[in-house]
Amino acid sequence: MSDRRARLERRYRRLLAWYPRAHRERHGEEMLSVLLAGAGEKRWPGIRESVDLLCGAARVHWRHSRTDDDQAWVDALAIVSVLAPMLLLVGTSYGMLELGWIIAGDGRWTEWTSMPWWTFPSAPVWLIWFVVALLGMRGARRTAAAGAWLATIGLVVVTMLRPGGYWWPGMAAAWIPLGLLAAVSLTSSPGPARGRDLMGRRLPVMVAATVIFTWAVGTLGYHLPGAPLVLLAVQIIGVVAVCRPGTRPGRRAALMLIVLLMTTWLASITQFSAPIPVIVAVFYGAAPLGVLLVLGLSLRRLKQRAD
Amino acid sequence: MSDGALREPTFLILTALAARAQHGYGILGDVAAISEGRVRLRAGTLYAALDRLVADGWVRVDREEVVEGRLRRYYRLTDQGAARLAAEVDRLRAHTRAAEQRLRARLTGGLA
Repeated sequence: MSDRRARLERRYRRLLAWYPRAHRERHGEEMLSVLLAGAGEKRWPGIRESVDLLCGAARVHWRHSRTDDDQAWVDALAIVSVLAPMLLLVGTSYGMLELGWIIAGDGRWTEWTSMPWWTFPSAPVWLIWFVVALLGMRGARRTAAAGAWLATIGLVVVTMLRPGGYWWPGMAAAWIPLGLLAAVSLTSSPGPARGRDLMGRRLPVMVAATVIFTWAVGTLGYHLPGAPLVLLAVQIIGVVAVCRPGTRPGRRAALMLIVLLMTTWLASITQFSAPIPVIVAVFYGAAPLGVLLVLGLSLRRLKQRAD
Repeated sequence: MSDGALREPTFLILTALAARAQHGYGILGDVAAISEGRVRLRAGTLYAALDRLVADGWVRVDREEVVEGRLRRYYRLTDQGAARLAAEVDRLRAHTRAAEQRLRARLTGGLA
Protein backbone atom coordinates (compact mmCIF):
# COMPACT_ATOMS: atom_id res chain seq x y z
CA MET A 1 0.00 0.00 0.00
CA SER A 2 1.35 3.42 -0.92
CA ASP A 3 1.96 6.10 1.70
CA ARG A 4 -0.74 8.23 0.12
CA ARG A 5 -3.23 5.40 0.40
CA ALA A 6 -2.18 4.63 3.98
CA ARG A 7 -2.64 8.26 5.00
CA LEU A 8 -6.06 8.38 3.37
CA GLU A 9 -7.04 5.20 5.22
CA ARG A 10 -5.95 6.73 8.54
CA ARG A 11 -8.04 9.81 7.79
CA TYR A 12 -11.07 7.69 7.00
CA ARG A 13 -10.51 5.69 10.19
CA ARG A 14 -10.52 8.93 12.18
CA LEU A 15 -13.92 9.78 10.73
CA LEU A 16 -15.23 6.26 11.37
CA ALA A 17 -14.16 6.59 15.01
CA TRP A 18 -17.24 8.80 15.47
CA TYR A 19 -19.50 5.77 15.00
CA PRO A 20 -20.67 3.70 17.99
CA ARG A 21 -18.25 0.95 18.95
CA ALA A 22 -20.72 -1.85 18.15
CA HIS A 23 -21.33 -0.39 14.69
CA ARG A 24 -17.60 -0.04 14.04
CA GLU A 25 -16.98 -3.62 15.07
CA ARG A 26 -19.68 -4.76 12.67
CA HIS A 27 -19.27 -2.41 9.72
CA GLY A 28 -16.01 -0.50 10.23
CA GLU A 29 -13.73 -2.50 7.91
CA GLU A 30 -16.51 -2.90 5.39
CA MET A 31 -17.17 0.85 5.31
CA LEU A 32 -13.48 1.53 4.98
CA SER A 33 -13.36 -0.85 2.05
CA VAL A 34 -16.23 0.99 0.34
CA LEU A 35 -14.70 4.40 1.06
CA LEU A 36 -11.32 3.40 -0.35
CA ALA A 37 -12.89 1.75 -3.37
CA GLY A 38 -14.58 5.03 -4.25
CA ALA A 39 -11.64 7.25 -3.30
CA GLY A 40 -9.83 7.21 -6.65
CA GLU A 41 -6.72 9.39 -6.43
CA LYS A 42 -7.96 11.40 -3.47
CA ARG A 43 -5.53 12.30 -0.68
CA TRP A 44 -8.12 13.56 1.76
CA PRO A 45 -11.76 12.62 2.40
CA GLY A 46 -13.94 15.18 0.62
CA ILE A 47 -15.95 17.71 2.62
CA ARG A 48 -19.30 16.26 1.54
CA GLU A 49 -18.06 12.78 2.26
CA SER A 50 -16.83 13.80 5.71
CA VAL A 51 -20.11 15.53 6.52
CA ASP A 52 -22.02 12.48 5.27
CA LEU A 53 -19.97 10.18 7.53
CA LEU A 54 -20.43 12.44 10.56
CA CYS A 55 -24.17 12.74 9.92
CA GLY A 56 -24.33 8.95 9.48
CA ALA A 57 -22.52 8.50 12.80
CA ALA A 58 -24.98 10.86 14.50
CA ARG A 59 -27.94 8.95 13.01
CA VAL A 60 -26.58 5.59 14.12
CA HIS A 61 -25.81 6.94 17.61
CA TRP A 62 -29.29 8.39 17.83
CA ARG A 63 -30.98 5.23 16.62
CA HIS A 64 -28.97 3.00 18.94
CA SER A 65 -29.72 5.17 21.95
CA ARG A 66 -33.39 5.56 20.99
CA THR A 67 -34.08 1.90 20.31
CA ASP A 68 -31.76 0.64 23.05
CA ASP A 69 -29.97 -1.34 20.43
CA ASP A 70 -26.87 -1.67 22.53
CA GLN A 71 -27.55 -5.24 23.49
CA ALA A 72 -24.76 -5.27 26.04
CA TRP A 73 -26.56 -2.72 28.20
CA VAL A 74 -29.88 -4.52 27.81
CA ASP A 75 -28.24 -7.77 28.85
CA ALA A 76 -26.40 -6.06 31.72
CA LEU A 77 -29.73 -4.82 33.05
CA ALA A 78 -31.18 -8.31 32.66
CA ILE A 79 -28.38 -9.65 34.88
CA VAL A 80 -28.97 -6.83 37.37
CA SER A 81 -32.69 -7.67 37.42
CA VAL A 82 -31.84 -11.07 38.89
CA LEU A 83 -29.07 -10.07 41.25
CA ALA A 84 -30.18 -6.71 42.65
CA PRO A 85 -33.34 -7.98 44.43
CA MET A 86 -31.35 -10.86 45.93
CA LEU A 87 -28.52 -8.60 47.09
CA LEU A 88 -31.06 -6.27 48.64
CA LEU A 89 -31.88 -9.04 51.09
CA VAL A 90 -28.52 -8.31 52.70
CA GLY A 91 -30.12 -5.06 53.81
CA THR A 92 -32.21 -6.93 56.37
CA SER A 93 -29.08 -7.78 58.31
CA TYR A 94 -28.83 -4.28 59.81
CA GLY A 95 -32.38 -4.42 61.15
CA MET A 96 -31.93 -7.97 62.37
CA LEU A 97 -28.71 -6.91 64.08
CA GLU A 98 -30.59 -4.22 65.98
CA LEU A 99 -33.29 -6.66 66.97
CA GLY A 100 -30.58 -9.00 68.18
CA TRP A 101 -29.03 -6.26 70.32
CA ILE A 102 -32.35 -5.44 71.93
CA ILE A 103 -33.05 -9.05 72.68
CA ALA A 104 -29.54 -9.72 73.88
CA GLY A 105 -29.59 -6.56 76.01
CA ASP A 106 -32.79 -7.51 77.79
CA GLY A 107 -31.97 -11.17 77.80
CA ARG A 108 -35.62 -12.03 77.43
CA TRP A 109 -37.21 -13.40 74.33
CA THR A 110 -40.59 -12.18 75.58
CA GLU A 111 -39.42 -8.68 74.61
CA TRP A 112 -40.42 -9.54 71.04
CA THR A 113 -44.05 -9.01 71.94
CA SER A 114 -43.62 -5.74 73.81
CA MET A 115 -41.09 -4.25 71.41
CA PRO A 116 -42.24 -1.03 69.67
CA TRP A 117 -42.99 -1.55 65.97
CA TRP A 118 -40.61 1.19 64.92
CA THR A 119 -37.59 -0.71 66.17
CA PHE A 120 -37.41 -2.19 62.71
CA PRO A 121 -39.82 0.00 60.72
CA SER A 122 -38.53 -1.08 57.32
CA ALA A 123 -39.32 -4.76 58.02
CA PRO A 124 -42.37 -4.81 55.67
CA VAL A 125 -40.23 -3.30 52.91
CA TRP A 126 -37.63 -6.05 53.23
CA LEU A 127 -40.40 -8.60 53.17
CA ILE A 128 -41.50 -7.17 49.82
CA TRP A 129 -37.91 -7.41 48.52
CA PHE A 130 -37.86 -11.05 49.57
CA VAL A 131 -41.04 -11.65 47.54
CA VAL A 132 -39.58 -9.66 44.61
CA ALA A 133 -36.44 -11.83 44.64
CA LEU A 134 -38.55 -15.00 44.61
CA LEU A 135 -40.80 -13.69 41.82
CA GLY A 136 -37.72 -12.73 39.83
CA MET A 137 -36.27 -16.22 40.17
CA ARG A 138 -39.58 -17.67 39.00
CA GLY A 139 -39.57 -15.39 35.96
CA ALA A 140 -42.58 -13.24 36.92
CA ARG A 141 -40.94 -10.05 35.67
CA ARG A 142 -43.89 -7.65 35.66
CA THR A 143 -45.13 -8.57 39.13
CA ALA A 144 -41.57 -8.44 40.43
CA ALA A 145 -41.12 -4.99 38.82
CA ALA A 146 -44.29 -3.68 40.46
CA GLY A 147 -43.10 -5.05 43.80
CA ALA A 148 -39.66 -3.51 43.32
CA TRP A 149 -41.12 -0.04 42.71
CA LEU A 150 -43.37 -0.44 45.76
CA ALA A 151 -40.44 -1.53 47.92
CA THR A 152 -38.22 1.30 46.63
CA ILE A 153 -40.94 3.83 47.47
CA GLY A 154 -41.18 2.12 50.85
CA LEU A 155 -37.46 2.69 51.45
CA VAL A 156 -37.83 6.37 50.52
CA VAL A 157 -40.86 6.79 52.79
CA VAL A 158 -39.10 5.18 55.75
CA THR A 159 -36.05 7.39 55.14
CA MET A 160 -38.09 10.58 54.88
CA LEU A 161 -40.49 9.93 57.73
CA ARG A 162 -37.85 8.31 59.90
CA PRO A 163 -40.15 6.81 62.52
CA GLY A 164 -39.09 7.39 66.13
CA GLY A 165 -36.42 5.05 67.36
CA TYR A 166 -34.93 4.49 63.94
CA TRP A 167 -31.38 5.01 65.13
CA TRP A 168 -29.72 5.27 61.76
CA PRO A 169 -31.62 6.36 58.63
CA GLY A 170 -28.93 4.83 56.42
CA MET A 171 -30.41 1.42 57.23
CA ALA A 172 -33.05 2.19 54.63
CA ALA A 173 -31.55 5.15 52.73
CA ALA A 174 -28.33 3.40 51.73
CA TRP A 175 -30.31 0.75 49.87
CA ILE A 176 -32.48 3.18 47.87
CA PRO A 177 -30.08 3.40 44.87
CA LEU A 178 -29.81 -0.40 44.64
CA GLY A 179 -33.59 -0.65 45.02
CA LEU A 180 -34.05 1.90 42.25
CA LEU A 181 -31.65 -0.01 40.00
CA ALA A 182 -33.53 -3.25 40.72
CA ALA A 183 -36.85 -1.60 39.84
CA VAL A 184 -35.49 0.00 36.66
CA SER A 185 -33.82 -3.22 35.51
CA LEU A 186 -36.93 -5.31 36.12
CA THR A 187 -39.04 -2.75 34.24
CA SER A 188 -36.84 -1.98 31.26
CA SER A 189 -34.85 -5.15 30.57
CA PRO A 190 -35.92 -8.53 29.17
CA GLY A 191 -35.93 -9.61 32.81
CA PRO A 192 -34.56 -12.29 35.11
CA ALA A 193 -35.19 -15.15 32.65
CA ARG A 194 -32.73 -13.61 30.21
CA GLY A 195 -30.38 -12.74 33.09
CA ARG A 196 -30.33 -16.37 34.26
CA ASP A 197 -29.55 -17.54 30.73
CA LEU A 198 -26.60 -15.16 30.60
CA MET A 199 -25.20 -16.19 33.97
CA GLY A 200 -25.57 -19.95 33.74
CA ARG A 201 -26.91 -22.60 36.05
CA ARG A 202 -24.59 -21.97 38.99
CA LEU A 203 -26.29 -18.66 39.63
CA PRO A 204 -28.91 -19.52 42.30
CA VAL A 205 -26.45 -21.47 44.47
CA MET A 206 -23.71 -18.84 44.25
CA VAL A 207 -26.00 -15.90 44.91
CA ALA A 208 -27.76 -17.70 47.76
CA ALA A 209 -24.36 -18.57 49.29
CA THR A 210 -23.21 -14.95 48.98
CA VAL A 211 -26.38 -13.53 50.50
CA ILE A 212 -26.57 -16.09 53.33
CA PHE A 213 -22.91 -15.68 54.23
CA THR A 214 -23.16 -11.88 54.14
CA TRP A 215 -26.34 -11.96 56.15
CA ALA A 216 -24.78 -14.26 58.75
CA VAL A 217 -21.68 -12.06 59.13
CA GLY A 218 -23.87 -8.94 59.19
CA THR A 219 -25.97 -10.22 62.09
CA LEU A 220 -24.10 -12.84 64.08
CA GLY A 221 -20.54 -11.81 63.44
CA TYR A 222 -20.72 -8.06 63.08
CA HIS A 223 -18.81 -7.44 66.30
CA LEU A 224 -15.83 -9.43 65.02
CA PRO A 225 -12.78 -7.41 63.95
CA GLY A 226 -12.68 -6.79 60.22
CA ALA A 227 -16.26 -7.99 59.75
CA PRO A 228 -17.36 -5.00 57.59
CA LEU A 229 -14.41 -5.51 55.27
CA VAL A 230 -15.16 -9.23 55.01
CA LEU A 231 -18.75 -8.34 54.20
CA LEU A 232 -17.73 -6.09 51.35
CA ALA A 233 -15.18 -8.57 50.01
CA VAL A 234 -17.67 -11.43 50.01
CA GLN A 235 -20.28 -9.33 48.23
CA ILE A 236 -17.84 -8.12 45.58
CA ILE A 237 -16.37 -11.58 44.97
CA GLY A 238 -19.87 -13.08 44.83
CA VAL A 239 -21.11 -10.47 42.35
CA VAL A 240 -18.05 -10.75 40.12
CA ALA A 241 -18.23 -14.56 40.17
CA VAL A 242 -21.86 -14.78 39.11
CA CYS A 243 -21.78 -11.92 36.59
CA ARG A 244 -19.32 -13.69 34.25
CA PRO A 245 -16.87 -10.77 33.99
CA GLY A 246 -15.43 -12.15 30.75
CA THR A 247 -18.47 -10.77 28.95
CA ARG A 248 -19.28 -7.11 28.36
CA PRO A 249 -22.80 -7.31 29.88
CA GLY A 250 -21.36 -9.16 32.87
CA ARG A 251 -18.72 -6.48 33.47
CA ARG A 252 -21.27 -3.70 33.22
CA ALA A 253 -23.70 -5.43 35.57
CA ALA A 254 -20.92 -6.14 38.08
CA LEU A 255 -19.74 -2.51 37.94
CA MET A 256 -23.20 -1.12 38.63
CA LEU A 257 -23.87 -3.54 41.46
CA ILE A 258 -20.47 -3.12 43.11
CA VAL A 259 -20.70 0.69 43.13
CA LEU A 260 -24.10 0.51 44.79
CA LEU A 261 -23.01 -2.20 47.24
CA MET A 262 -20.02 -0.05 48.19
CA THR A 263 -22.47 2.72 48.98
CA THR A 264 -24.18 0.52 51.52
CA TRP A 265 -20.83 -0.53 52.92
CA LEU A 266 -19.59 3.05 53.21
CA ALA A 267 -22.87 3.94 54.82
CA SER A 268 -22.40 1.25 57.43
CA ILE A 269 -18.85 2.50 58.11
CA THR A 270 -19.64 6.22 58.29
CA GLN A 271 -23.20 5.86 59.57
CA PHE A 272 -23.91 9.28 58.12
CA SER A 273 -26.97 10.95 59.50
CA ALA A 274 -28.48 14.43 59.40
CA PRO A 275 -31.38 16.17 61.10
CA ILE A 276 -33.06 16.87 57.76
CA PRO A 277 -34.18 13.66 56.01
CA VAL A 278 -33.75 15.16 52.54
CA ILE A 279 -30.02 15.58 53.18
CA VAL A 280 -29.80 11.92 54.16
CA ALA A 281 -31.65 10.87 51.01
CA VAL A 282 -29.47 13.07 48.80
CA PHE A 283 -26.29 11.80 50.48
CA TYR A 284 -27.14 8.16 49.95
CA GLY A 285 -28.85 8.66 46.61
CA ALA A 286 -26.87 11.33 44.76
CA ALA A 287 -23.40 10.12 45.76
CA PRO A 288 -23.55 6.65 44.16
CA LEU A 289 -25.39 7.94 41.11
CA GLY A 290 -22.68 10.59 40.72
CA VAL A 291 -19.98 7.92 41.05
CA LEU A 292 -21.72 5.80 38.40
CA LEU A 293 -21.97 8.79 36.09
CA VAL A 294 -18.32 9.75 36.53
CA LEU A 295 -17.24 6.12 36.08
CA GLY A 296 -19.35 5.78 32.95
CA LEU A 297 -17.97 8.97 31.40
CA SER A 298 -14.38 8.06 32.34
CA LEU A 299 -14.68 4.57 30.86
CA ARG A 300 -16.18 6.05 27.70
CA ARG A 301 -13.25 8.43 27.31
CA LEU A 302 -10.75 5.66 27.97
CA LYS A 303 -12.42 3.48 25.35
CA GLN A 304 -12.44 6.29 22.81
CA ARG A 305 -8.71 6.84 23.40
CA ALA A 306 -8.02 3.13 23.14
CA ASP A 307 -9.97 2.92 19.88
CA MET B 1 -41.77 3.31 9.64
CA SER B 2 -43.65 0.40 8.19
CA ASP B 3 -46.82 2.45 7.62
CA GLY B 4 -45.37 5.69 6.25
CA ALA B 5 -43.83 6.38 2.88
CA LEU B 6 -40.28 5.19 2.36
CA ARG B 7 -37.67 7.87 2.01
CA GLU B 8 -35.99 7.96 -1.35
CA PRO B 9 -32.59 6.54 -0.27
CA THR B 10 -34.34 3.65 1.50
CA PHE B 11 -36.52 2.98 -1.53
CA LEU B 12 -33.52 2.97 -3.83
CA ILE B 13 -31.44 0.71 -1.56
CA LEU B 14 -34.27 -1.81 -1.33
CA THR B 15 -34.71 -1.62 -5.09
CA ALA B 16 -30.99 -2.21 -5.63
CA LEU B 17 -31.22 -5.36 -3.50
CA ALA B 18 -34.51 -6.61 -4.98
CA ALA B 19 -33.06 -8.75 -7.74
CA ARG B 20 -29.80 -9.96 -6.22
CA ALA B 21 -27.48 -9.72 -3.24
CA GLN B 22 -24.98 -6.85 -3.47
CA HIS B 23 -22.08 -5.46 -1.46
CA GLY B 24 -21.91 -1.87 -0.23
CA TYR B 25 -19.98 -0.41 -3.14
CA GLY B 26 -22.25 -2.27 -5.58
CA ILE B 27 -25.33 -0.79 -3.93
CA LEU B 28 -23.92 2.74 -4.27
CA GLY B 29 -23.31 2.21 -7.97
CA ASP B 30 -26.68 0.58 -8.54
CA VAL B 31 -28.55 3.37 -6.76
CA ALA B 32 -26.85 5.89 -9.03
CA ALA B 33 -27.81 3.78 -12.06
CA ILE B 34 -31.44 3.28 -10.96
CA SER B 35 -31.89 7.01 -10.36
CA GLU B 36 -30.06 7.80 -13.60
CA GLY B 37 -27.35 9.61 -11.70
CA ARG B 38 -29.75 11.89 -9.83
CA VAL B 39 -29.16 10.27 -6.43
CA ARG B 40 -25.58 9.56 -5.39
CA LEU B 41 -25.52 7.95 -1.97
CA ARG B 42 -22.39 8.08 0.13
CA ALA B 43 -21.08 5.52 2.57
CA GLY B 44 -22.33 7.32 5.69
CA THR B 45 -25.91 7.45 4.43
CA LEU B 46 -25.77 3.91 3.05
CA TYR B 47 -24.52 2.26 6.23
CA ALA B 48 -26.82 4.24 8.52
CA ALA B 49 -29.68 2.97 6.34
CA LEU B 50 -28.37 -0.61 6.20
CA ASP B 51 -27.95 -0.63 9.99
CA ARG B 52 -31.62 0.30 10.34
CA LEU B 53 -32.88 -1.99 7.58
CA VAL B 54 -31.04 -5.01 9.03
CA ALA B 55 -32.41 -4.23 12.50
CA ASP B 56 -35.93 -3.94 11.05
CA GLY B 57 -35.53 -7.30 9.30
CA TRP B 58 -35.95 -5.91 5.78
CA VAL B 59 -32.39 -6.71 4.74
CA ARG B 60 -30.01 -9.42 5.89
CA VAL B 61 -26.38 -10.29 5.34
CA ASP B 62 -26.09 -12.85 2.54
CA ARG B 63 -22.38 -13.68 2.64
CA GLU B 64 -18.93 -12.22 3.23
CA GLU B 65 -15.85 -12.26 1.04
CA VAL B 66 -12.34 -10.94 1.40
CA VAL B 67 -11.18 -9.33 -1.82
CA GLU B 68 -7.62 -7.99 -1.99
CA GLY B 69 -7.44 -8.06 1.80
CA ARG B 70 -10.62 -6.05 2.21
CA LEU B 71 -13.88 -7.28 3.70
CA ARG B 72 -16.79 -7.34 1.29
CA ARG B 73 -20.20 -8.09 2.79
CA TYR B 74 -23.17 -8.87 0.58
CA TYR B 75 -26.68 -7.87 1.56
CA ARG B 76 -29.95 -9.45 0.45
CA LEU B 77 -33.57 -8.34 0.65
CA THR B 78 -35.66 -10.45 3.05
CA ASP B 79 -39.25 -11.53 2.32
CA GLN B 80 -40.39 -8.87 4.77
CA GLY B 81 -38.32 -6.26 2.96
CA ALA B 82 -39.63 -7.40 -0.41
CA ALA B 83 -43.22 -7.14 0.86
CA ARG B 84 -42.53 -3.62 2.14
CA LEU B 85 -40.97 -2.58 -1.17
CA ALA B 86 -43.92 -4.08 -3.09
CA ALA B 87 -46.35 -2.16 -0.87
CA GLU B 88 -44.41 1.04 -1.54
CA VAL B 89 -44.46 0.36 -5.30
CA ASP B 90 -48.28 -0.11 -5.12
CA ARG B 91 -48.61 3.13 -3.20
CA LEU B 92 -46.46 5.05 -5.66
CA ARG B 93 -48.29 3.46 -8.60
CA ALA B 94 -51.66 4.55 -7.17
CA HIS B 95 -50.35 8.07 -6.67
CA THR B 96 -48.88 8.12 -10.18
CA ARG B 97 -52.15 6.91 -11.66
CA ALA B 98 -54.07 9.59 -9.77
CA ALA B 99 -51.61 12.23 -10.88
CA GLU B 100 -51.91 11.13 -14.51
CA GLN B 101 -55.70 11.23 -14.36
CA ARG B 102 -55.69 14.72 -12.85
CA LEU B 103 -53.22 15.93 -15.42
CA ARG B 104 -55.35 14.50 -18.23
CA ALA B 105 -58.42 16.14 -16.75
CA ARG B 106 -56.54 19.42 -16.48
CA LEU B 107 -55.47 19.14 -20.08
CA THR B 108 -59.03 18.32 -21.18
CA GLY B 109 -60.46 21.13 -19.09
CA GLY B 110 -57.84 23.51 -20.39
CA LEU B 111 -58.69 22.74 -23.95
CA ALA B 112 -62.41 23.07 -23.36
